[in-house]
Amino acid sequence: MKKLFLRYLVYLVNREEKKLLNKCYTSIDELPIFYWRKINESGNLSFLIKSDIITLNKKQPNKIKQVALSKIWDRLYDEYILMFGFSEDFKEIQRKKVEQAMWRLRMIAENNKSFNFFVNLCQTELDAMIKAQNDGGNFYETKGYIESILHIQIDEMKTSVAQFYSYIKLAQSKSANGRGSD
Amino acid sequence: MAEEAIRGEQIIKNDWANNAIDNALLLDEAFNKLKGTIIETAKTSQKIFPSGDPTTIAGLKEQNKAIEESVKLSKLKAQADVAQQKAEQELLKTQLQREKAEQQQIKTKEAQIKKEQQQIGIINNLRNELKQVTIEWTQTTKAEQLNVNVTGSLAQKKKILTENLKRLEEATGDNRRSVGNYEKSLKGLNGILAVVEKATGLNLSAFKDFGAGLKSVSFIAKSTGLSMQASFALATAGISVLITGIYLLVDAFKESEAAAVRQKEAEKELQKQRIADIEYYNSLKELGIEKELAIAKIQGKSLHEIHDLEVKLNNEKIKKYEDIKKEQGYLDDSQFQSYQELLNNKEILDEKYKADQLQKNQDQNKKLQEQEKKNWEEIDKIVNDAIDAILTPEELKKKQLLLDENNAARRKYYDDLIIVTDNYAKAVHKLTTEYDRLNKTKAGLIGGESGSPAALTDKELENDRKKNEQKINEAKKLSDQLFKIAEDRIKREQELNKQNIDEIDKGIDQQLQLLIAGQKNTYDFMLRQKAKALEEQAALDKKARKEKEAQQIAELFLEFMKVNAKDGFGAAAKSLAETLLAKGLAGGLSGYYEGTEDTGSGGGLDSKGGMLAVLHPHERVLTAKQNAAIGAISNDDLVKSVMRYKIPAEKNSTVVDLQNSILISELKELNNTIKNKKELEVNWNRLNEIILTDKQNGYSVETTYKNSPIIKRNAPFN
Repeated sequence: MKKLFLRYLVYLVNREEKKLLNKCYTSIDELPIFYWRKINESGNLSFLIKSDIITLNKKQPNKIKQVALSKIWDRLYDEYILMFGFSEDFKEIQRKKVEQAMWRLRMIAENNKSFNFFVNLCQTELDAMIKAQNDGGNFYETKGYIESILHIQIDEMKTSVAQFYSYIKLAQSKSANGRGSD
Repeated sequence: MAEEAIRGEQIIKNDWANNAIDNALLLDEAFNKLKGTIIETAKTSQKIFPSGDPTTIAGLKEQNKAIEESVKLSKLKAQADVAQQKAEQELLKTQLQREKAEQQQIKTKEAQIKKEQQQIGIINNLRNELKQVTIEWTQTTKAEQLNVNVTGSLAQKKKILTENLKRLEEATGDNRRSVGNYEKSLKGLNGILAVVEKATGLNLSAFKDFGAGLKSVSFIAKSTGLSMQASFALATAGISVLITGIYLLVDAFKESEAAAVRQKEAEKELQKQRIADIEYYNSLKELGIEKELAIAKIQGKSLHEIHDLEVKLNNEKIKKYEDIKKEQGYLDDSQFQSYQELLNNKEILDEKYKADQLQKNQDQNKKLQEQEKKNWEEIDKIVNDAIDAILTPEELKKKQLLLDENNAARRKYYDDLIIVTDNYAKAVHKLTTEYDRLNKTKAGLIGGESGSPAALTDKELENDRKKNEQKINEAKKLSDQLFKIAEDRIKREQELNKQNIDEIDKGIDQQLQLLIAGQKNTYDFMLRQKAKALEEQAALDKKARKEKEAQQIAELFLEFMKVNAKDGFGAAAKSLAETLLAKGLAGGLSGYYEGTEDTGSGGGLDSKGGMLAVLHPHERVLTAKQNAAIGAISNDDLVKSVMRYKIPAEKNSTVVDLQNSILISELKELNNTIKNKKELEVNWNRLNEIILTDKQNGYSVETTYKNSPIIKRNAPFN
C-alpha cells in the first residue's frame, strides 16, 4: 500500500514537472539574475515559474509542485556548476564540514571522546568561515563592481544568470590585469 | 557469624532485587550491543565517506547526506551513552538497596536469636532454682513442713518461680506448665469450636458452656479439697452430655502437650544446626573462601552449586598451600646453597678487602702528588735564588724580563713534567715516606727514648738496607720504563712530523713545476705548511730535551738515594737536597743537545757575559762576530747553503735551470697578457668607408661603416 502510494506520488510529481517545464525557466541562459537572487534569498522555488509581470513576492507552492520545481532547480544548478563551478569559499566550507564529519566518525569508531575537541574546533572554524563569507558583500555591491569595471549597465530582469556570472569573471580578470580603473 | 548462619538457612530472599538486577544487566547488554552496532556503522561510514570535492549538485547532496548521517550517529551514540550510564546507576542503586535490606534482615534475626538465647538461659536458671526449691521442700521434715516460717518462704519462692517460668515458657510457646489452667485454655477452645461450627454448620453451643462448668469444677475442687474428678462428678452429676466433652478436652490437652514437646525438640535441632553452621562457616572463614560462597548465595545459586563451589575452592586452597610449602622448601634449599657459596667465596671477600686497602693507598698517593708539586715549586725557587746570587743587578733585570716572557712556557713545562712523571713520583714518594718513617724509628731507637722498643741489630739493619736498595732498583726500573714510553712517544711524533715534512717537500716540488709552467698552483701555501711543520718539529725537540732533563733529575735522585740508603739516616731528605744542588748547578749550565743559533743574553761568569755550557764531541762553536756575519739563518739552512756551495758546477746547473724556468714562465705570462690585450684599429677603404678592427685573443673583427649612396665627386680615387 505504501509502495503504491509512493508510486502514485512519483507519478504526480512527474506529471507536475511535465506541466511546469513549459512554464518555467529551464536554463541559466534564460533565467534572469533577479529571480536567481530571489530564489537564493527566500528559498521559494515559485520564482522559477515565468510570469509576464515582475513579481517581488510569491506564495510558496504546494508540496508536489515544490518537489517538481526542486527537480528543475537542481538541473539549473547543475548547469551553473558545470559552467562556473563551485566558488573557492564554498569549497573550503564544504571541506571543513567533511573534516568535521570525519572527526565525528572517528570519535565514534574508536570510542574516544577526546576527538570531540577536534569536532568543536572544526565547528568554530566553520562559523568563522561562514561569517566571513556572509560579510563578503551583497548582490548590489557585486552588480556595482561589475558596472564600474566593465562600464556597462546591468538590467536585473534582462541579464541572465549565465551572463551575470560571466561578467563577474570578466571583471575579475580585468581587475587582476590592472585595467579595471581606466 | 550470625550472618552466615542466616544465609545458610536461606532466610533472605531478595527476589525483587535479583529480578531488578537481572533486568538491569540485560539492559546493559542491550546497550552494549547498540553501541557496537553504532561503532560498526561509523567504521563503515568512514570507509565509504565521499570526501572529495563535489562537482555536481547530486554529489554535493550525497556529501551533505553523509555529513547529516554522521551527526545523527553521533547524537545516537551520545544518547546511548547517557542511557547506559543511567541504567548502570539504577543497577548500583538496586544493589545498594538489596545490600541494605539484607543487613536489616540480618540485624533483626540476630536480635531475635539473642533474645531467644537470653530467654532460654533465664528459663534454665529458673528451672534449676525451682528444682532446688522442690528438693529443699522434699527434704524438710514433717514438723518443718508444719512450721509456716520454714515452709512459707519456700512455698512463696516456689510460687514466684513457677509463675515466672509459666510466663516465659508461654512466651516461647511451651504451655506444659499451664496444664491445670483450663479457664485460660478454654478461651482458646471456644475460639476453635466457633471455627469448627462455622466450617461444619453443627451446633456446638453445648461445648462452649464447658467454660462456665469447668470453672465451677475447679472452684469446688479448690474449696473442698476434693480431687478434680470428684469435684467434676459433683458438678456434672446427671449431665452425661458433658462426658464426651471432657474426653475431647483431655485429648486436646494431650495433643497440645505433644506439640509443645515436638516444638522444643525442633528448636533444639535448629539450635544444633545453627551451631554446626556457625562452626562450618568459621572453618570456611579460616580458609578465606567465605567471601566467594557469600557472593554465590547472594547471586541466588542453588545449594548444590554452592556445595560444588565450596569443594572447588577448598581444593584450590589446599593446592595453593601445598605450592607455597613446596616453594618455601625450594627457598630454604637455595638459601642454604647461597650460604655455602658465601662461605666458599671467602677468598673473594679477602680480595675485596685488599682492593679497598689499595684504594686507600691510591688516595694517599694523590695527596703526596700534590705535596710533590709544591716541592717542585720550592726547587724552582731555590734554583732561581742560586742563579740570582750569581748574576749582577743589570743581568738580573734582563733575566726578569726573560722570565716574564717565558713564564707561560715554564708553567707548561712543569705541568708536563708532573704528568709524565706522575706514576714515577708516586712510587718515589711512597719510598721516601717509607724511608722517612724507618729512619725516624731508627733515630728514636738510637736516641734511647724511654718506652721505645729495643734497638735493631746490625743484621736487621743490613736486611733493611738490602730491602731499600731493592725498592730503589724497582723504582729505577719503573722510572726507566716510564721515560722510555715517553721517549718512544716523542720519537714517534718526531718521525711522523718528519714524514709530513717530506710529503710537504714533495708537494713543494710539484707546485714549483706548476709555477714554472705558468699554471695555477699552491706553492705559497705549501711553503707555509712546511714552516708550520718545522715549528712543530722544533717544539717536539724542545719537549724531548725537557723529558731527558726530567729523566736525568730522576736518575740523579735515585742514585743519591741509593748512596744515602747505605747510611740510612734522612736518606730521602739528603737525596733531595743533593738533587736540588745538582739541578741548581745544571741550571747554571747551558746544554745544547742539538746545537743552537744563539746562546742568548749570556751569564755573569766573566765581564763579557760568559756562561757555562755543556758541549758534546765534534761540535762547532762560532764567535759572536762570525755569528753576526752569518745573520738570522737557521743552522739547517746554513748547512744547506754550505752543501750547495760544495756541490760541483754540473750539479749546480739544476739550480740555474730552475731559476731560468721561473723567468721563462714569467715571460710567457707577460706574453699572454699582451696577447689578450684588446686593440682597436680604425682604417678607411677605397670607398672612404670607415673600417673598425677589434682585436682580442688573436681574433680580429672588422666592421665597415658604409657611406650614403651618393658618391662624392671629390673622392680621392675619382
